Amino acid sequence: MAEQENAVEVRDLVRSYGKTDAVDGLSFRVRAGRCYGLFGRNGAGKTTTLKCLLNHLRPRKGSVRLFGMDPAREEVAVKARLSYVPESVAFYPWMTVRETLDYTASFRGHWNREVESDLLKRFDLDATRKVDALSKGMKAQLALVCAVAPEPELLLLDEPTSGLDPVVRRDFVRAVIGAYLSGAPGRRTVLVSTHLISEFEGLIDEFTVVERGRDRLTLEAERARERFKRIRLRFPGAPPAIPEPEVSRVNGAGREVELTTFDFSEDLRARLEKLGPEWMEVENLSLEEIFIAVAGGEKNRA
Amino acid sequence: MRARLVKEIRQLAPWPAAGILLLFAVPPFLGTERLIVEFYLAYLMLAVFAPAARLFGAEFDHGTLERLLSQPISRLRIWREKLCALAVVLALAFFALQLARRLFLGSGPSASDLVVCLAAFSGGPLVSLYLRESFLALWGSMSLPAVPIWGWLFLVYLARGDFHVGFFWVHMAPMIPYIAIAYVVARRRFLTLELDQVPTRRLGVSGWLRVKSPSSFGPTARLFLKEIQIQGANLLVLPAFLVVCGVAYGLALAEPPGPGQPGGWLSILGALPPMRAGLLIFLFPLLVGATAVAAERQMGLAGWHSSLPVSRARQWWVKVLVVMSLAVAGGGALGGYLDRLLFTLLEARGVASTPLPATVIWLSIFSAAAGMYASSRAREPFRALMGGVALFLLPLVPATSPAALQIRGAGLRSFFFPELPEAGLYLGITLPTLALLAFAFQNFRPEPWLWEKSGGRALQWVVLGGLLLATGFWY
Repeated sequence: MAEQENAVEVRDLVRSYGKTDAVDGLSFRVRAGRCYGLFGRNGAGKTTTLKCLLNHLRPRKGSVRLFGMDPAREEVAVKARLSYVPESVAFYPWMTVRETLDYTASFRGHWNREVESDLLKRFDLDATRKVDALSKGMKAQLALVCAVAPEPELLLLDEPTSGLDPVVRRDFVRAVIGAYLSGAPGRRTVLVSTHLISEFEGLIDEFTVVERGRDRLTLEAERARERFKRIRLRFPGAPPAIPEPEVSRVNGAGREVELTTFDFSEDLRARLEKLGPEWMEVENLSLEEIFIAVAGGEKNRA
Repeated sequence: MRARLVKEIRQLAPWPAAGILLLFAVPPFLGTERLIVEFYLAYLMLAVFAPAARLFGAEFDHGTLERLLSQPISRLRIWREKLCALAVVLALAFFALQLARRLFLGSGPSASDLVVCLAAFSGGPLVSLYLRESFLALWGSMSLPAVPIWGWLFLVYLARGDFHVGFFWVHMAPMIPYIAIAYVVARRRFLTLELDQVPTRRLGVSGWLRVKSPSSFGPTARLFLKEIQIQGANLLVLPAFLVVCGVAYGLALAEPPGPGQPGGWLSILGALPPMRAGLLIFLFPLLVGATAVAAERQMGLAGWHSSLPVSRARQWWVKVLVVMSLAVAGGGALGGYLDRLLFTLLEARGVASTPLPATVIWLSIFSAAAGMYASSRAREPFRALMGGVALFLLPLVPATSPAALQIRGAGLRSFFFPELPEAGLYLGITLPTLALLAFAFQNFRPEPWLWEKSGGRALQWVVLGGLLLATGFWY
């Protein structure tokens, strides 16, 4: 596969439930070999989008393509190249962990027993235990083992860390996803839908913020960090009004002012310096802070 | 492939396995041929309709369909493998029944059994794919064949001008298109199934039940409303019965069967278990009782409810009151009167004018308690219903023994339970009912006063089993 081929392509996707538009004209594309974040608040349409990618739901309008294929027409060929971890993980309660893994492996042409064994050890999962006796977090871990062991080209994760404790969450994101991506650089792709963005800081290459079923902002992570900044200013007296159009949020306390900008540039810095602050500091924003600025801001045009 | 087939068989097998076990264990204790034949209807429910309804219903119950459909095999292949597993299970259930018929009745193969199995084979998946759960799918797949049968009878009426056409399952004419159409529609449904966020079965019904009561009504009123909403889908069973039985009643009044004539339209009441009003007496309370606790557990609400600042005892008594009220009104009173009415019409015996015996009401309460006990232990209503049926059937083995039948009087033509003499009624049914409710409450409490590890569960079973069997021997 060429490195820059699109693993996922969503164009003007529309999907409604009755009169409610869950997804309303969403577009984004995920290049192969990248870790892509689909960020959004609850009910933004992230899960519906992933279900459309899996042909669990059919788009009312627009199109979805995985590896250039239509999942509705070439369902098996598409699913042979991906693994999916749903938001609410469920297994057959009478099966053991071992039986669950064997059952899942029966669907696959390729299954890496070494990866499976490593992950079972890492997560401290007992293969002889009944799935019914596992905690919610352990079930989430088992779902991840089932997803990673076949070494798919694309990993679709829907809120994958929501059931995990902080230690495992960190381990999962850094070790499991990191190892998965570096296992075949440029070939393996991750599309993760989440609002627990801080867990994926450093791994996400590109992201789309989804709001009310629409793509509000799509940016490469590096570019986002360049554009979104927090600027702290301290003035000798009362702070002046700051009418800059690139500034999305202004917080003030005494002589200090904190700004959030969605389009930082040296030009903006120069304009702010002209206001005469006695001290100015520019900080990078984390992806989570960028998401909050975009999805939760009042003046968050981007 | 092998792992998948094993999984499918494992998912379906428990019910037929239990059914086959009972199929050979129970009939030797049953007194008459008629009771054995009636027992076979319970067997068909357990060994044929239950696995058919579970084929897809269990995937919805466990929430595993999403995972299954995310795997890299075609839906057509999943369909074929699942149907293949169901065919194997139903074939076993069918041949076991034929063997039992030969052993206990001395009869040959029954074509009607084959029709029932085929109707379940196509109807079970169809209904469960629409209702998205196995609990109501079981009931729905047993009832759906009534539609083509009634349609066929209407055509016969148009052609012949009278209702007096003997009709049973063995008549293939309407069932062949039913089986074929149900199969095709179910297959199409599965291949195009969308896993949208369809409201659960409760929401559609609870919509019209949702009452905006003022908060001053307090938590108890809210709890009552919530319990009624949980029972919403079961309440639909009653109007469905009323329609079916009302039609039958109207037809019987319009054209009663003459001497020597076949039962005609009404004869299907004997052929289709869900259409027999007598079933309501115990099946409706079992449905209601089985739903009471397990439905909340299945919906993931049990933990949340236990965290509410309302005592578990109050929650429990609200449940009991709602379940018992529905059981007595819907099962005992409505079912009992309908059964007697139709019995009078069918057999021209003047029992409808006599008061309804108290046994019917007590039987409903007992059935509801059995359902509630099973519900307090089960993780889903389907299992609770099956457990409740088993608890209900337990005292019947001794109760329907030849000795017991000698004291059986004419009267209520209930499906399984004989007309019980009034004497001993209170001890016979009250004690097991109270025990069932007490143990159900103990299972409902956050900290059971009988520890599981110290044999609490075993103690429950010993006490309940003893009481239920004693009830049977009492009669």
